[in-house]
Amino acid sequence: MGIADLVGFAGAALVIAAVGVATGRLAALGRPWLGLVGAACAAMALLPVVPLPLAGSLRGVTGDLSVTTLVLLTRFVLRPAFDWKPLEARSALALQCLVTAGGLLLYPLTLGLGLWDPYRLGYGELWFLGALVALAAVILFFDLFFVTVCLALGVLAWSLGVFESRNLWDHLLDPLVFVWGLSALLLRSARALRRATRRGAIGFMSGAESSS
Amino acid sequence: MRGRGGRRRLLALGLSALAFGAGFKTAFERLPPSAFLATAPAEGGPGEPSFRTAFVSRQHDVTAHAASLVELGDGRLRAFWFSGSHEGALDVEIVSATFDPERETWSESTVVAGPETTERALWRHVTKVGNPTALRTTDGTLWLFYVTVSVGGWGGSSVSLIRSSDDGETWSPPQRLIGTPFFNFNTMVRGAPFEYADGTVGLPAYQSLLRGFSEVLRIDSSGAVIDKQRLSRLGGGSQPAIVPTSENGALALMRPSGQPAPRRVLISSTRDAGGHWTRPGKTSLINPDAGLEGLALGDGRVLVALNDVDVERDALSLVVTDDGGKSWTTVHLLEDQRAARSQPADNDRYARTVEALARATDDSIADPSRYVTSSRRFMCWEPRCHFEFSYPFLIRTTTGEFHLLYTWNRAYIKHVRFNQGWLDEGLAGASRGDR
Repeated sequence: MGIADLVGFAGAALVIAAVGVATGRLAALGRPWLGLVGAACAAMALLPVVPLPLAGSLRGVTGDLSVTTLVLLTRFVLRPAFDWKPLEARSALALQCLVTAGGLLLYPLTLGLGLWDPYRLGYGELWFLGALVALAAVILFFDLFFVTVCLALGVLAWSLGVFESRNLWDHLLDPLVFVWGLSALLLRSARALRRATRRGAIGFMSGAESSS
Repeated sequence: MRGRGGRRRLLALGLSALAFGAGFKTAFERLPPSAFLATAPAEGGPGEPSFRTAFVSRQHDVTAHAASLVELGDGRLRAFWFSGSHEGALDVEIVSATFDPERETWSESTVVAGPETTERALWRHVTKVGNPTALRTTDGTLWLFYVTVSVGGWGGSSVSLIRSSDDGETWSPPQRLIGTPFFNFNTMVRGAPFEYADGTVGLPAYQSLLRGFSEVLRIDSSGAVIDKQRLSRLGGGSQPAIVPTSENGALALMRPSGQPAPRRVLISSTRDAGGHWTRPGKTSLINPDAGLEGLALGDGRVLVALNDVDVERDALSLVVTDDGGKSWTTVHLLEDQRAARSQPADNDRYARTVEALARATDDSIADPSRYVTSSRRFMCWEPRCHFEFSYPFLIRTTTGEFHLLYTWNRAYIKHVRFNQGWLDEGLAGASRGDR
C-alpha cells in the first residue's frame, strides 16, 4: 500500500467518522461521546475485513478526496474532542463560494459541455497557478486563515505528489465539498429570502395597520 | 488578540509562500509537449497476396469481446480481450493468448486481470472489468489498460493499468488512472495506445455517459496521467482511434455516438502532435455507432477497419484514404451478412451459415455446432438471430504483415492475417471514388 492509498483510506475513514459524529450530534450526544463515536467509526472503517475494509468500499465510489474536504472533515471530526470553536462564519462563506464557483466551472465543462476542458489546467498550467496565487493574495488580504490553509495545503500536496491524482484540481475540489458548498449557499439564500419575505410581510402589515 | 492575529497571518503567508514556491517548481518541471514516435517502415516488399484466418479464443458459450493485440520482442503476438458469461458480468476477466507465427497457432488463453485481483491491488471496491487495450513501448514494456467499474454500469468506469517487462509472463500490480474530477467516473478506453517520442504514452479515451465524447490522455513513465486533450464535445464522437501519420500529424477517427442518422464516422486531425485538434467533422464513412481502428501505411495512406454499414454490425470492411480522410476506398469486405436482415427468421439457415463461417475461418474445427450454440446465446433475440463482426483492432508487425482481430458474434475473437500484396490486390480491384 503506497502513500496515495493511505491518504485515500484516511479520507474514506474520515467520511465514515464524520457521518458517525453528525448522527451523534443529532442524537444530542455529549462532547466526550462524540469524540468516542468518531474514533469508533474511523476504526470500524479501517477494520481489516475481507475482501476490503469498509473505507475501501467507500473509496471505490467516492474516489480520493481533496485536501479541502480532508481538512474540513478532520476539523469536523476532531472538534468535539478538542473543543474547537465553529468555523469562522466569514471563512465558511468564502470557502463555500469558492468551491461552488469552482465546481460550477469545472464539472459541466469536464462532463463534455464544449471543447474547452478546464481540468487540463490542473496539470501544471502556469497561468492557472498564477491565478491561484492572486486568489491566495485576496484571501490573505481579507484574513481568511482557514481558506488560506486549505488552498496552500492543496497546492503543497499536489507539489509533493502524495495523492493518486497528478491534477491540481483534484487536490482543491471534489464533488463532496462542491455539494457541501452549494447546499450551504442555497440554504443561506433560502433563509435570507425567508427573512426578507417576513420583514416585507411585517412591513406590509404594519403599514396597513398605520393606514387603517 | 492582535498578536495572535498577526502570527496567524504570518503563518498563512509563510504556508502560502512555501506551497506556491513548490507548486511553481512542479509546474516548471512538468514534461514539455512531445512529438509522436515515428514508426519504423515495415521490412520487405508487398509479397505475393496472402490472407489467412483463425479463431483466437477457443472457449465456447462465453462472451469474448474488445480484443487488442501487440507484437512481442521475439516476433510472437499477444492478444487481450475480455471474457465471461456476458458483457458487464461480475465473472468477466481480462484474458490473453499468444500467437506463434512460425507454427501459426494460438496458445490457450490465460487470465491476466479480474475484478478480485484488481480490487485487492487497488485497495478499493471493483465490481467488473472490460475493454483491454495494449501497447508495447520501444523499451520493451507491455502496457495493458483496461476498464474497471466500482459502481453502476460503464458510466461508473475508470481505467487501470498493468505493465509487464517480460512480454506478458508476469504483470505489475494494477494502478488506477485519474481521468476525471467527478469521482473519477466515466473514463473508458478501447482504441490502440500510441507512443510519444519522449517515451510517454498516449491513450485514446472516451466518456460514455449521456452521448459521450473523446479525449487523449498522456501518461508518463510512472503510469500517471500528466495531460489530456479534448477531441470532441458531448455527442460529438466517442471511442477514438488515433492514427499517428508523422512525427506531428495524426488523425482521430471517432464512432458517431449520439449522432443523428445517417451516422458517419467523425474525424479530427492535428499537425502539432496533439497540441491542437481540429473541430470534428463528418467523413463519408457510414457507421452504425460501432468501434473502428486504423493505422498509417507509411506512404501517406491510412487503412481503417470498421463496420461500414448503417445499422447492425453484420459487415466489416477495410477502407483506405490517401488524402487525410476526405475520400475513402473500400479495399476488402471481410464479412458481410447484410442479406440475412431481409430474410425471414430461419433457425436452420442461421445454424448453417454460422457453421459455414466458422469452417471458413478455421477448416480444422472439429465441431462447428458449438459455434452455432455460442452465437445463438448472444446473437438471437426476437424476431431473428443476428451476426456481429465488430470492434476491430489492427496492427502491422515489423515484418510488414497486418494482423486484425475482431469480435465474432460476441462469442469469439477472430484473427485475420494479410500482407501488403493482398491489400494492393484489393486496391487495384476497387473502384476509386469519393464516398
